[in-house]
Amino acid sequence: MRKYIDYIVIGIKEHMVYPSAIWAKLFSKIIYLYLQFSIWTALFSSHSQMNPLINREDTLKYIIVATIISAFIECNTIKWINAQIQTGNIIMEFIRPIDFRKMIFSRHLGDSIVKIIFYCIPLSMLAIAVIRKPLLCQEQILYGLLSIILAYGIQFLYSLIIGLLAFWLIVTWPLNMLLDAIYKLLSGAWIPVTMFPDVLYNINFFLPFRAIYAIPVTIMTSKMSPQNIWKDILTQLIWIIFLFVITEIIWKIGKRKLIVQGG
Amino acid sequence: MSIEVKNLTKTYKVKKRSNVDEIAGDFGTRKYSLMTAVNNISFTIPSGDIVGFIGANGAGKSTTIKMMTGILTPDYGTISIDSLNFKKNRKQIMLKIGVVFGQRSVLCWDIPVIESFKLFKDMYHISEKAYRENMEIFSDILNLSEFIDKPPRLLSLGQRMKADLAAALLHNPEILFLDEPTIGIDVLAKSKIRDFICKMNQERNTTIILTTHDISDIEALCKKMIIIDKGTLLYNGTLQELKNSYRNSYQAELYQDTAIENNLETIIKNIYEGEFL
Amino acid sequence: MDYFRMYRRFVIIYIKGKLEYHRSLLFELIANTILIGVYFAGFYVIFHNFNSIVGWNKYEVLFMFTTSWLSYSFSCFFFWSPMRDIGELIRSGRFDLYLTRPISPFVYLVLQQFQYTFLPRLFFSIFFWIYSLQNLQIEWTVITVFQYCASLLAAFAIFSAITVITGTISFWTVKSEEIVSLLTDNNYGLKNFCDYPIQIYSKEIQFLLTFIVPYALTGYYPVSNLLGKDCPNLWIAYISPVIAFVMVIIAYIFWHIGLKHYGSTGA
Repeated sequence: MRKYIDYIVIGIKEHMVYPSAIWAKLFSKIIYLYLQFSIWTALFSSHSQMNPLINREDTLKYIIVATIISAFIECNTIKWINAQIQTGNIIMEFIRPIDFRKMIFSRHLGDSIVKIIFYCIPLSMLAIAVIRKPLLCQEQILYGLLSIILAYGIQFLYSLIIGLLAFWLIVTWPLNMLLDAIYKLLSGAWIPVTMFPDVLYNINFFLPFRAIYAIPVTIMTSKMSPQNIWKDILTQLIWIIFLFVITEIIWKIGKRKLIVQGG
Repeated sequence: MSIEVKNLTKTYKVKKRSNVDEIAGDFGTRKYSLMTAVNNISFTIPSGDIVGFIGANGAGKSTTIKMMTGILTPDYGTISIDSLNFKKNRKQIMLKIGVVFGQRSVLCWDIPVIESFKLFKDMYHISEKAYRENMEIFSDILNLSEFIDKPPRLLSLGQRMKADLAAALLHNPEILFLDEPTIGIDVLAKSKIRDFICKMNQERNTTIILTTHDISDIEALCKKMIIIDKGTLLYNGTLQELKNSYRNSYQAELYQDTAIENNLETIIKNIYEGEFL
Repeated sequence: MDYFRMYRRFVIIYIKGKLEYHRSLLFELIANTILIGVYFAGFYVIFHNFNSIVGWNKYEVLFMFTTSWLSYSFSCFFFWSPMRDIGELIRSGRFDLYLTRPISPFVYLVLQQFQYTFLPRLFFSIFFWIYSLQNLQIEWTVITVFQYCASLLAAFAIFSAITVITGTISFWTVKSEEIVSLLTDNNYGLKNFCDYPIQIYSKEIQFLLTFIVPYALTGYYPVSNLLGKDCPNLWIAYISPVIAFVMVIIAYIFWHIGLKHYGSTGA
């Protein structure tokens, strides 16, 4: 157990190596928040909306909360695994008497702690100071937090699966980038899924991505009936279990077929 | 063709970081201390010489070489190569020199060596005739045909070094700078490389400046030596004179003749340690 | 200096090198295609729900940012990769090798590569540029065509200058990538702002995007002019070549200052 805590600490330290990188990332999040806010405010103020179901307040709250939690849910496990494969260091990680997946999770946990402190909290304070209206749906906050935790797990498992798939495919950044892009759209991190055209919405319903942003952010910000909240959380649970099973399968098979690109 | 170095001086600012600076990162204040890497060095290397550059790590040797190859600009002093200087005639000088870095290859990593050669042919305006001649001579001694169609990443260290060497000499430079050329290379390749260097020097009167930690390289190739330590020039002269004066100065201290290792390595070790000279 | 001959040689080398890894090349192109495709898909989703933004309809916005992206893609073919790699080259010491050649290191860095991964972006931009043009009524006269082409060239110069300036920073700071990506990143940086009409931002941001990091000159101003939009400072569209020229000069001088700094400190 001790060693996992050590890895959490390692994850924390790794993120804090370059202070200028932290400042830069914080600024880039602020910039992105401003960008999103400007775009959606402008879209609504043009009174040209064609979809009667969406309104300005909900959308803005959604976008702000989505951006803030993206700061810590984002997972760079894929990048990390790829880097390890390229340098060949991945072997070292397997030789150690520690479960690779738990190790990565601990690292990611440490990384996320830093992100919450240095990104989410300042961003939240900034948002509250500028907006001056409640962002969150008070009664649903606890469900929201539960949902965020589940979303965090789903995101991690999804990243882990892609990273492990890299063993077989010896793929580097392109896979990472392309999945990032698809995921950014379909998860609702960029545009609320309620705005999707029907076809896309229906396809997306069966994919895990919306469980990462769309579900938790909606629970946090808009009033929902208890049934719907439970339906959504159940969806997340199903996805977590499903992804966990897939991780196990890939792990077992992947361990046997270890291809490492030597230096 | 000769290299003249006068009063060469180079100082570095070394950052001192306090804890506050650590947190502020790149936005923190910087305190500097000055470190003189090269302190008022002067020497002349006549054309056609093979000179070994020796110095302990951090002694200012690589800084001096970097200034001589135009990578760094001196704070004070002049470097003139064949009466040209870097400020005014940079391109001309570049056309006359060849550089080989032992640790990093100059060749394009993923493509066959021959393609890099063709690139340099165009870059240095080498005529078709000269190119062919050189390729023949180089292939002969260095056995280039063995690996010329392979990319550097598939070559052994020895093969890569041979390729780098050939690439550097393709345009018939008057001066060749070799920075640690035999590091990590097997004995056979080493001897081929040394033969090649000697031959180039003899047939083309190429001035060769060799930086190395391998004393046997120096003994095999160089007639002259320049020793730099702590930024100052300690010695500039022939190998033989160095050995003679060493022998003379220690004979006076009752060492038996046979017990003295008239050995360059020992001499240099002593110099590094501050004795002698 | 026979640069054309040399460039041809560089191109051959580059292509041969990349074909060595043709599978990876194909994958990169596919990945970028999907990436850009997703961006346009997102755009489609947004305008599925809204008719217009500050008076610009979707074809107008599309035309505006594809105009900008056309120049951007070309600029990136040549300058994106070298300026991104400089940091690593300096750190590893390989940059020294570029200094010992009889051609300027800048020319060497630019000629030796071609960032084909921007081809998908270029093709998508051309496609949607044509698509948006078909849905817009633009009065093309000799003057407006000339103005438009001039602004495309100016945009190329502006993007290239900004890229070079951000790359030059590597001569001073060790970890410049994050700070640089604030300005230049395609998804999370300042550049993203100019995919939409800049009226949606505050006056200060508009000023920033017009005069300091003049991304707005690459799409918004020329297209506002062309479409006859009610834009407050339309005269700026006419001076974009001047600003582009100034930026290029700044980039040139800054690069040489950076080189000089490298020569005196070895970084």
